[in-house]
Amino acid sequence: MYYIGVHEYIPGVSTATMSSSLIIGESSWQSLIGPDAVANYTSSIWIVNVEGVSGESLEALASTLSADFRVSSVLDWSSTHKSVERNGGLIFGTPGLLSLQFVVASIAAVASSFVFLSLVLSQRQKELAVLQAIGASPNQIIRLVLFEILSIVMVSMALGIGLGIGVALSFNGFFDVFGFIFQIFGGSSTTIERTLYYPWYQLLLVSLSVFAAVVVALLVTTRRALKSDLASVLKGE
Amino acid sequence: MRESILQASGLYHVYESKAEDGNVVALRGLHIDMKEGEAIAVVGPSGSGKSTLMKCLGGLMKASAGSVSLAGKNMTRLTGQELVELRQKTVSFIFQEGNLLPNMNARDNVAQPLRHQGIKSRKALKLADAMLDRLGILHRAHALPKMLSGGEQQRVAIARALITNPRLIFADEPTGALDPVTSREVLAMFKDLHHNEGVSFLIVTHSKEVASFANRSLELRDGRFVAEHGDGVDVENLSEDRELIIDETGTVTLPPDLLVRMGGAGRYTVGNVDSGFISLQGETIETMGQMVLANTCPACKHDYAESEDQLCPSCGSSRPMVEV
Repeated sequence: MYYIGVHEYIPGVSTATMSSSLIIGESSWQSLIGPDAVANYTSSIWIVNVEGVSGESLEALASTLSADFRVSSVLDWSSTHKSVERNGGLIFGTPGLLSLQFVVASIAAVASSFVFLSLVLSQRQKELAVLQAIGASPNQIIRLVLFEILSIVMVSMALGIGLGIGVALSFNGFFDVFGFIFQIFGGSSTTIERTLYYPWYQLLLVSLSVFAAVVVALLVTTRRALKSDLASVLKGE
Repeated sequence: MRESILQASGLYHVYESKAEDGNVVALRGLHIDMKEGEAIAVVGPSGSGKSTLMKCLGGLMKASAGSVSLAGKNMTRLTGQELVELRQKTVSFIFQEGNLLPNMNARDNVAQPLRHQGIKSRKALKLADAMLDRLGILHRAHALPKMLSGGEQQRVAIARALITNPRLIFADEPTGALDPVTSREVLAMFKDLHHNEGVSFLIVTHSKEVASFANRSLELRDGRFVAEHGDGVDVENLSEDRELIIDETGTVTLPPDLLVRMGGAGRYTVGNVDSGFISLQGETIETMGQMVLANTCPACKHDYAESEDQLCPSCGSSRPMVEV
């Protein structure tokens, strides 16, 4: 085995299974649960260490194994693992980049929501002044604005997340094109397999921070708008 | 004796400013006593503090100093919520432009003040329909403000002001944006409300017709009431029928044209004093004869030429005096 440590990705094993799995050598396993249990163990996935076999003989072994009708597919663990790592599969090498992206996305979202709300409310200052003049209390106005803007924010958040996932999915398919191009030049089958990883926790964090920023921005800008000079706003000066 | 609907004493308002000249004093110790069912017009040049006065009296803004009583309640002592409730029950505002809420149709605009008072939407809309019918624009009830003409918008704004059955209506140049025919119609509506329903009006205006509708007109200059005019005031020639106001503190402000005729600022000895009569004799009038009315308007550079106008005919600014 080349890779000892924590792995988030092993070819042929789903990410969900990976998070709750432990990979140990056969002898250690035998000493843990006894040789009988090991002999009678059945599984649909087997990872076999074939030491000293490489290159063409490894490929030959793979084709012999896959020719057997009881075997559905055979994957060369080490070369697939290496290629995924080399081609920048989402889970190797990129977490640093992704966390940077997450920070940038969060800051951009918070900042733009502040700017956007200030703009919207300064345009609607007259409306707020009219509401006040016809007998709305400041609290009623703040509730009204909160309800209006937050419903827009929530719908757009849901749309944005859905759209983002859609784009990510379609772009993942798009990467197959590179595999295709490599195949033309490389001559051999070079598929690029990328495992999509959905950052639910980060998504939740960004959504919540944007939501909180919107609420704070709304309260600040609405209060400021309510304090502005009513007469000049209403006269359009 | 009729009850007072609106009283203000020693009303000052200062706008804080970071400009070189420092803060701006918009109102300088105003006194006003308005009886129930009375219609008062506030006339005067632009920038004299009319809108600030209306805002302070209507409880939209707290004056820097002085007190305002609306329907017997001292507004300076009320909390925010009490003030909102008092305003909801007592006053309504009508502005130069309809100032309707752009995303609501006429019917919703009229019903909105009732909703703020906690009245159920269905009932509010029913009342709004009745009010629109009364003002003859029920057929436009479902139109958005941008689809309404200026006159129709103002009617909707009036309907919105009337729906809460206010005892006092503050109107800031209510006919300023309307053509003469429509403004006459609006004014006829005001007259009807004033005479038949006893609604009080405080109207800020430049218009002769609107001012003549009022029982009396107060002339505001540089934040002070300088004079009072009876009904039928001619806003273009305020010097004709003015009665100067000497307030409780003994302050009198002379309008600029009167000051020029007297010879200018300076020291005067008091001559004959009798009940309702005083004569002044100029002693050292420092700038006597040196102050004349400006030839050009400082705001819009209008050339007054030989005219004796007190207000700029093109922008409405007060004509200042300059030293020669």
